[in-house]
Amino acid sequence: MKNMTEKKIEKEIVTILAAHLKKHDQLQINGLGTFSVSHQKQAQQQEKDGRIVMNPPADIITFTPEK
Amino acid sequence: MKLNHDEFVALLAKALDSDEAEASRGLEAWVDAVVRETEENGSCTVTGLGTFRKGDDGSMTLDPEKALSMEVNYKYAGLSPIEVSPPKSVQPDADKDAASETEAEEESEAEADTETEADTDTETDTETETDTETEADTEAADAAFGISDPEKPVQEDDEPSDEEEIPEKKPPVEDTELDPSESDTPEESHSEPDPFGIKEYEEERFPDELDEEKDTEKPFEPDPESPPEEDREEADAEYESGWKKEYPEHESEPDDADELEAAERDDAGDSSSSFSLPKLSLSRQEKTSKGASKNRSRDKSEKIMWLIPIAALLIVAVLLYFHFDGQRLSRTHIGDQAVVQDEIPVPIPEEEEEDQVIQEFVPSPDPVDEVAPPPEPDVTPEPVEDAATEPLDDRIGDLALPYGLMGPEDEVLIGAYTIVVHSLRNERKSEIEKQRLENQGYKATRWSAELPSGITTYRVGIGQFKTVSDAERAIEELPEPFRSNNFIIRIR
Repeated sequence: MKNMTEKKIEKEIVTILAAHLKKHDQLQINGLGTFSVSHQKQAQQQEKDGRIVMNPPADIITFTPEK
Repeated sequence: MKLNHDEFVALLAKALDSDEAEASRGLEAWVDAVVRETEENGSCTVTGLGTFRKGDDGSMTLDPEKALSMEVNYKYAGLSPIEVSPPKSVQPDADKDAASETEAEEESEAEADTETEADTDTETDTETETDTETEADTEAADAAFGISDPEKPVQEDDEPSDEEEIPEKKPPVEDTELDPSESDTPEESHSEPDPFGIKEYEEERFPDELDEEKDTEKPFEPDPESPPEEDREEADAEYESGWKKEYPEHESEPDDADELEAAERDDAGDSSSSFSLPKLSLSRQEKTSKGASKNRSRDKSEKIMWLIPIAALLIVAVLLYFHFDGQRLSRTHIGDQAVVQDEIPVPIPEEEEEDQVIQEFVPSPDPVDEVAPPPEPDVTPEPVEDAATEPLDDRIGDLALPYGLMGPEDEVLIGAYTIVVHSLRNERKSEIEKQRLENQGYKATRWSAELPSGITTYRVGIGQFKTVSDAERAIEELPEPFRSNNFIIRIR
């Protein structure tokens, strides 16, 4: 059970992370990992039924854990 | 922008209204709690961020929260995969659908053709009526000029009887051969409607033929080798009896002829003419029957000879009409399709839409190459070959539709592909970017897209392309940063 201070800290951490991720910034937190946004280009992909579809591009949140 | 741990702690301290040491301790406590919970439970959900999971290799992964992912991916939010080619397993059905659509189109075209045929029939009927009127007028004119008047042949009969003697020299077998065909024609011409105007034609031609024969034939000279007059009278009597038996409807003709002969006799007042009246009357009948038979058979053959080329010309004219009319309809049909597609308010499913695009812009090859634009000398050989092998309607469609990367934005083609280079939330900024691209010569298009989160984004695309491949080729020509930061989207 998290107390009020922990909840408040967690809320502020998430707010900062989300705000910078929306700006496509990269954030590093020691002991956890690195948050970043990677761009996935649109690409054609052949489905199992044989049809070829072009997937739209996307900006994806990427988390790289700390080793 | 890249934020390291210290910078993050500084921001957190600022957000918590505390010093960095306290913020650092709070951050470390939060990280330990997340890692521990993930290790113990396999996952740890952080509201507003996502769920940390423990991977197979023991490392942590993050499943971002959907709302956050959408916010991060706002530029491309709402996009769905574009189907480039239909599935192979579904292709037969697609073909069936395409075939049914083609059939529907053919039916619609057939309806259009039927309408055209109806119009043509109406025109034909009008023409037929006109012809009938013309024929009626001709008949009236003939009647006025006495062409169909029985007095006309009689007047010709007033000529020397050389015409009457000529049929007698012909073998009677010829007359018997001609009689059956000749016997029906006058009957039918009197009793049944004449759809081809044969009756009128005969009535028109017959006096002329007689005139021609009258002009060409020599004056009557007694033939020394002709049979004695008594034999001739017997033969004439036999022939008359047989002729009356076969042509009872012509029995009235001798009366007319007799009346005419009486009139002639009155005019001449000569006893010799009255003495030769029976023979002359019989000869006139023979002339009327045999000469008319001969002339009518000749008229028939001539009519047939005239009707065949006229019918052939009519058929060729109709075929040419439908040929050019079909070309016009097919070309109009392409334009109509584009317009109709623009007017479709409901978004079409990807598969059907792709089929429509393919069907719309891959018309059947047209061998006609007269309208093809001449190949430009500066163009490389490969595009010239493409232009030569490209279907004519496709080239016409390319010329008609404003495809391409550069140029003014004359028309936004619904269903075409464009390259999105800006996706902005500021409308004014998006308009500025659009103007900037237009000043650079690009065919720029701007539209708004409402994201699932309710936020409106304004996208700016450049170029309009018929296929995805065309758009991809155009991307290679784009300068940075557009070349590496763009996406293709279908205009809806």
